[in-house]
Amino acid sequence: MVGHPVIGIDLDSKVIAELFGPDSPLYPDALARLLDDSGVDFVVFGGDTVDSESSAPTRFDASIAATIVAALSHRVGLVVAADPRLHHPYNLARRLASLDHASRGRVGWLVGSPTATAEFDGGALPADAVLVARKLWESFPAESVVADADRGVFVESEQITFIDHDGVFAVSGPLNVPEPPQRKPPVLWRARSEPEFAAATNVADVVIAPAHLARVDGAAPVLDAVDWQGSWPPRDQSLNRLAGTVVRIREAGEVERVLETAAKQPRPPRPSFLRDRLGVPPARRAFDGPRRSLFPVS
Amino acid sequence: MTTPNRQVILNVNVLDAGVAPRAWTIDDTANAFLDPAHFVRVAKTAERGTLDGFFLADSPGFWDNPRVKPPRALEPTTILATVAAHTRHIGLIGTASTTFNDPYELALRFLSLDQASGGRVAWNVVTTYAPTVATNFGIHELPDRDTRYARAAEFVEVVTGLWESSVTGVPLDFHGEHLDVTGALAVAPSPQGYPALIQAGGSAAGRELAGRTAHGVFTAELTLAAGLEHYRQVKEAAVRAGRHPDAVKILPGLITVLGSTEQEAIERHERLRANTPVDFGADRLTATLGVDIRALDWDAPIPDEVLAAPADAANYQGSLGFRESVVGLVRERGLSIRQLLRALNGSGGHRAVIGTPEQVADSIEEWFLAGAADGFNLMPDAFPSGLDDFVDHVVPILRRRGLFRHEYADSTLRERLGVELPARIPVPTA
Repeated sequence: MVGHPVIGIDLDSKVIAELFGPDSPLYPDALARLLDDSGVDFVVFGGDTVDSESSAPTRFDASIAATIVAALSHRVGLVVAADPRLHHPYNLARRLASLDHASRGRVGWLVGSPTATAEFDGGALPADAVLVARKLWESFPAESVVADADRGVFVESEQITFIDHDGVFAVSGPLNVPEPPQRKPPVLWRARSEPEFAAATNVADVVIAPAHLARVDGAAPVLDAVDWQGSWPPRDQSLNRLAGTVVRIREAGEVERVLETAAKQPRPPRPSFLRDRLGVPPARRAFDGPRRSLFPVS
Repeated sequence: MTTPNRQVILNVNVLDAGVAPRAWTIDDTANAFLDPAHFVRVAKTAERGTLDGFFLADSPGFWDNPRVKPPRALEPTTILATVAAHTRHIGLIGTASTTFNDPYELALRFLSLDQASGGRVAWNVVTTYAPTVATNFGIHELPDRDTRYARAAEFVEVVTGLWESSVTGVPLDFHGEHLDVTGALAVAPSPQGYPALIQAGGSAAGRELAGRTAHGVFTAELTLAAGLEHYRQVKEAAVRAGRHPDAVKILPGLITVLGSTEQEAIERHERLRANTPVDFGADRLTATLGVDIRALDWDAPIPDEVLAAPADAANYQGSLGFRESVVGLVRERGLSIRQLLRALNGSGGHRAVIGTPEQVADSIEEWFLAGAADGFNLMPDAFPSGLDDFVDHVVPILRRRGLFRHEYADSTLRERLGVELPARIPVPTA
């Protein structure tokens, strides 16, 4: 658990489309500066697109928005909302690892299980996608990149290994991006019901849920999900079972005010990696078992 | 070729630290392949040189063993979005496979990037032919070439249809043999409407697809004769499809190694491949020729059976485009395997000019005026020096000869390539 409450904002997909469109109230470079100065720990891009309750259409690609903000900012965490039914976990793991390298360890993934029906379907698919990503992020170890000019060896490539995953997804790996700076970018999951909460807390590093769903025995830290009501929620709401708050923003016109208000509340310096900032412990190994090299030394 | 004031199109193909095997050992670029600042620096240099576009090759999996040089690693739209944030004019061209992407997801991602960049994006359409990549997506038997290209053609139609839906508001209703997609994109159009299309398949099927649908074609041409022939074929395919031959631009790859004298360039070339294993590129050449080259005599002329078309063409697992390019070179010069590996220097089959800025400019001009190229996809041997030298020394020569722009006069990539804007998209004001 962190000493200070975690604060995040969650921009609806249509808000992102407006911010990156021709008549934006806040162009990306100004947005990035405001985000850094505000002290918020992270911004979610398009949380409503993976929300089991609203499942809004994507009006602007979340990873493109996150990457542009990453290029123009230094501090703010960047959480990409991505539905693994649309984004194959291999391609998504690759894009998230790339963004983690590009942002120097500030990226996270908001996964969810939007379904056509009101019933939560158990979440087997997103759970498997998360497992695939975590295994892939281990398949090309950072230490293997030796860049030894004298020996003429760039990568000790026998250390690059298959993951041979066979679940909802069948993915052999390896990932052709080296291990990201955070090793395991944090996975967040917004839960809307008790069964979804139970699934999310077993899979995600952080769960976003309304306060009444949070359980004392939940494995993952929980962030309170609230709508922007005009002012920041009171700080003591985030104590006890909850590690912090995520404020949802539905109108592009609100963004500047939300961030300026946040900037007025002094916050201590935060760790540079998003994972540490969220208070998530160092990740365990995702891939056990014998490792098979893609490039064995003959 | 007879268009007045026709200008050379020049893109830079940013192969991380550079295409040369030891590019990563100079200019402090060991970490370049993972460093956004490296790609931004290259893009800004390209923009200073008024180059048309910044191009990224890609594959959703490993091509080559990264033991000798950095692999193509960072995903292209991640790099391009980073570059977009720090540039204003340079075109942004990203490769994405039709074999292992979802068309709706690809359409929305590329259109978002196009919008954010002010209309500077093109998608380089490729199919994936590496079996080690297929297993990343649970596929254990790659579809044969005909199936891959049939799916690619449908994929391009779906993506274009989805992009059109963002302009017209009319949902796509596509039912094909490989893809079934209905719906509209909720992403708004860009100032150029939506991305331009580049295509990079060098097989006969690839040239057909390019002629019919692409605005630009990236090719691998090792000889002028082959370059002239393939140029003519793609332009004719465009005309057969009811298009103006100018609507598709042919852009062969060109590796450049520059020096103030030819000797200096040769020395730089040797330095950038010193101590490289003698079999560097052997696995790739094996895949390209469709024959295990380690079973051949490396110092004898390459047997004709090896050069002839692959026996099982449908299931051949290499690139037919590179194969044609390589075989053409071997036939023209009578190379052995050892000599061929040296000439290729790890590239799949792209021509290299090793010499002075004048020599490089002469070669570009020769192909451009002969009708073998509308421009080139430049591959500097090592970044940043290889591109710095090109911008500082070759671009001025081309400008003096009236072959290349002095400044950007357009704001979108479609206008720059001289291709049409989609219907209903107003001509952008710069």
